[in-house]
Amino acid sequence: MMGCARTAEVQELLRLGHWPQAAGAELRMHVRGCRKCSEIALLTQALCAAKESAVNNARVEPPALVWWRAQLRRKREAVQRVERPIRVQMFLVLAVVCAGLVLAFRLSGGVAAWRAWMSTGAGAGSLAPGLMIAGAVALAMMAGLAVYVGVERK
Amino acid sequence: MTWDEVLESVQAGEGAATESRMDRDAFAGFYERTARPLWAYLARVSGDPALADDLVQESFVRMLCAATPMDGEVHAKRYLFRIATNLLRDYWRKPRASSIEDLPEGAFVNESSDGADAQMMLEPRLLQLRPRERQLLWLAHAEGYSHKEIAEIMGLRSPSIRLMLFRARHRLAELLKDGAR
Repeated sequence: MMGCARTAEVQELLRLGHWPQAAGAELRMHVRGCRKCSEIALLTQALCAAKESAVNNARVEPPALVWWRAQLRRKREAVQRVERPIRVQMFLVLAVVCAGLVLAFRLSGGVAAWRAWMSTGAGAGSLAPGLMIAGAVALAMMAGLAVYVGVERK
Repeated sequence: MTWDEVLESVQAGEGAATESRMDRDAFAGFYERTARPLWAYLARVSGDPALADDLVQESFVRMLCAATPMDGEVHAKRYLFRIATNLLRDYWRKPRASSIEDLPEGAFVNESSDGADAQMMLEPRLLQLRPRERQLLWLAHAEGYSHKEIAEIMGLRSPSIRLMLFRARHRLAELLKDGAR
C-alpha cells in the first residue's frame, strides 16, 4: 500500500462534490500522476454517480406501511414471549400427570395384575386400591390442568 | 388482566428498555432520508433491484423491532446499514437453485438506468468483484463511511479494512481502465 499526503485533500473535495472544479491546477496535476489519488477520484466519482442514479430510481414503500409491519411483528414477538412460560408450565403439568399414571399403574400391580383383572371379567377385587389411586391421581391432575388453562386464558 | 393488557405491558416493558426508540413521526422522517440510499446500496451491491426491495423493508422492520438503543440518526443509519449487510450476507449464504453469483452478467443490467456512460461502465465491472469488495467500495466511496464505521457495519476488524479496501479499489480501477481502453 502506498501512502500519499494529498489523498485527504482529494477525498474532501470529492466528498463536497467540488472535484475537479474547485481543485487547483497543481492538485489536478498531482492526481494525474498519483496512482492512489487517481483511483480514489475515479471510483468515488463513478460510485457517487451510480448512487445518485439508484437513489432517483429507488422503489420504496410508504413509511406508514413499514411502521405498521414492524408493529405487527413486535406484537407477534410479544405474544410468543408471553406464551413461552405458559407452554413450559403446561408441559410440566402433563409430565407430572404421566408420571402419576405410571406410578399408579405400578402400585396397582403392573401388567400381570391388569391381565388377571381382564381375564376375570373386570372383577376389581385385587386391583381395587391401585386403580382407585390411579383414577384419583389422574382425575386430580386433569382437573388441575383444566382449571389452570382456563384461568390463564382469562 | 386481559390478554391485550398483558401484551401491552410486555411491549411497554421493552419500550422502557429502549427509551430512544423512534416514534411514528420521527421514523417517517428517518425513513424518507435513508430508505433510498439503503435501496441504492442493496441494489448496486447485490445487482438485484427486486432483492433490494425486500431487504429494505426487512431492514427497517428489524431496526424498529430491535431492542438496541440508538444514539441519534447517524448511529441509527449505521445500524440500519449493518442490518442490511447481514441480511445480504444471509441471502448469499442460503443455498439456492440459481445463486446470485451464478447469474449471467446480463441479468444485472438495470432496466431503469439513465444511460450515463460512467454508470453503464461501472455496473458490469462492479459485479465482477467479490460481494464483500462491492460492499466495501460502496460504503467507502458512495456513502463516505470511515474505515472504523465500515468495520462496524460489516462486522470486520478495523485494521483489515484498509488493506481490503486498497485491493478492491485497485481491482475496480483496473477493470474500469480496461473497459475504457
